[in-house]
Amino acid sequence: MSIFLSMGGYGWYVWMAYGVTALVIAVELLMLRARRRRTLVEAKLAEPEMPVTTRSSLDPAGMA
Amino acid sequence: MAAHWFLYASPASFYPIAGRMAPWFAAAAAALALVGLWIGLVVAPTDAQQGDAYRIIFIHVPAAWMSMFIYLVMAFWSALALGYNTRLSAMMAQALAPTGALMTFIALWTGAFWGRPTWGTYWAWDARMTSELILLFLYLGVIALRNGIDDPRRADKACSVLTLVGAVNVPIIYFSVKWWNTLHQGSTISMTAAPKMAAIMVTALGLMTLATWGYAIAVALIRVRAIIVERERGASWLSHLPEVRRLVV
Amino acid sequence: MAASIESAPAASVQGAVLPAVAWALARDLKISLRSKAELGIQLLFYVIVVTLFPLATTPERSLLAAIGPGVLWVAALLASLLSLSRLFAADHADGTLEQMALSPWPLPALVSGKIAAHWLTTGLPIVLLAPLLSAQYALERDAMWILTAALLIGTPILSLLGGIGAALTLGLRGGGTLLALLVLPLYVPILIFGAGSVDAVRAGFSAGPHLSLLGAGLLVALVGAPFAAAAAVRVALD
Repeated sequence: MSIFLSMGGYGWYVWMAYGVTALVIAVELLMLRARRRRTLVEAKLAEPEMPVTTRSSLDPAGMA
Repeated sequence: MAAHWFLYASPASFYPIAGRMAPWFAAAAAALALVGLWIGLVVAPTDAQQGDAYRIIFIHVPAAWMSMFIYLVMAFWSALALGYNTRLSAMMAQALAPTGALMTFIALWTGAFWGRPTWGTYWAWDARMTSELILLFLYLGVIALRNGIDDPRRADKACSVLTLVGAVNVPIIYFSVKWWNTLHQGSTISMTAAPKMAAIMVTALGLMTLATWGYAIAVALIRVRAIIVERERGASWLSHLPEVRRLVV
Repeated sequence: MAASIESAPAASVQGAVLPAVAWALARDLKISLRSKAELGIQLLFYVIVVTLFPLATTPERSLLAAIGPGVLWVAALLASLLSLSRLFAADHADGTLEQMALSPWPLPALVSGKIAAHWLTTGLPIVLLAPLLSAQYALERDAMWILTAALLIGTPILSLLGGIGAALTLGLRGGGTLLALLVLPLYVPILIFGAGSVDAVRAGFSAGPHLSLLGAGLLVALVGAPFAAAAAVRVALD
C-alpha cells in the first residue's frame, strides 16, 4: 500500500494532481446540489397560488 | 424532424427529459472512472522514462480535451441562441460554463504537477499552457458577465455574443502564443514528444476520457434543470412537479 | 447634446454607411474635444504607468530596452481600457443610443464612427507619444519606429474589440472592472504581435511578419467588430 502511495517517489505530484481534482469535483457537485435545492424551494415559494394546507412529506397523496 | 426538435426546445418539456438522462450519464461516468482509475493507477505498468509521474495523464489529457470541447459546444449553443432566439440553447450555454472553467482549471493544475517532475518546472510559457490559461479567463469572463446582468434575457444574448467573439479568438491566441514562444526560444520544453504509450495505458486514457464526457454531460443536465427552475419561477407547470409539490416550506 | 440625432440628414439613408460613420465620428469628436481635461488625464495616466516600470525594476539600459516595448504596449492596453467604459455610457444615459438604434441609419456604421472617435482621442495620442517614451527605455531608433508603427496598426484593434466589451457591459454595476476582465484576454494576440515586432527587430530579424499579422487582425476586426458591437448595443437596449 505504501509502495502504491509513494508512486515510485512521485507521490507528491501524482496525489496533488488527483487529490485537488477530486476536491474541485466534489465542490462542484456540492454547489450543484445546493443550487438545485435552493431553486426548488424558491419555486415552491413563488407558486401562483400558495396552498393553505401544507401536505406532510410522508403523505403519499401529496406525491400523486 | 425540425418540428420534432423544436418540441423539446421548450424548457418545460426538456426539464423532465434532462432529469431522466442525467442519472444514466452520472452512473456511466462513475463506473468508467472507477475502472479507468483502477487500470491507470494500479494495473498499468510504470513508464520507463517518466516513472509513475506519467499517471497524471489520465486526468490531465481528458480534462484538457474537455475544456476546449465544452467551449466549442458553448459557442454552438450561443450561435443557436442568437440565431433562433431559443431560450433553452442559452440556458445550455449557461449550464456548461462553470464545468468548462472547472475542466480548464483541472487541466492547468494537473499539468503543473506533471510538468514539475518531467520538465523540472511547474509553469512554462508554452503555447498550450498559455492558451489554456487564457481560455480559463474567457470562461470566467462569461460567468462574470452573466452574474453582472440582472435581466436573464439580456444576459443570454450578451453572453452569447461574448462566447462567439471568444471562440473566434481562441485559435488566434493559440497560434500567437506558439509563434511568440518560438521567437523567444525560451522554453526548450517540447510537450509533443509524447512517450509511446502501451495499449493498457491507452485503454485507461480512453476510459477516463469517456468518464469525463459522462461527467460533463450529467453535470450540465443537472445544472440546466436548476437554471430552468430559476428562470421559470412562477410558471404553473413548475408547481405541478412532484419534487416541488413534495417540498414542505 | 447639441449634436443630437435630429441633426442627422433624414434623406434616404438605407445603406448610407460612410455618411453614418462620418456623422457619428464628427459628433463624438466634438463632444470629447469639449472636455479636453479628460483626454489629458488619460494621456497622463499612460505616461505615468510607463514611467513607473523603470523605477520598479532597474535603470540599467539593456534591460530597459528589453522590457520597454512590452511596457509601452501594456500601458497602451490599460490607457485604452480606461476610457472604454465611457464609449457608449453618456449616449446610453440620455437616450441618444436608443435613438441611434431606432434610426434608419445602419447601427454598425454609427458604432464604427464612435469607435473611430475613441481611437482618435485615445489611441492616436498614445501612438504619437511612443517615440518620446521609447527614449526613456533606451530603444534604438529603428526599434522605436517599429514600435510606433505597431502601435499605429494595433491600437485601432484595441478600440474595436473594446467597443464590443463596452457595449456588453453597458449600464452594469461594476461595469468598468467587468469590462477589463472581458476585454484583456482578447487583447493577448495584439500584445504578442505588437511587442514581438520590436523584439524581432532588436534580435536582427524583420518585423514584417508581425506587422502583417497585426494588419490582418486589424482588417478582421474592422469587418467583424462593428457588427458584434452593434449586436451588443441592441442587446443592452432591449
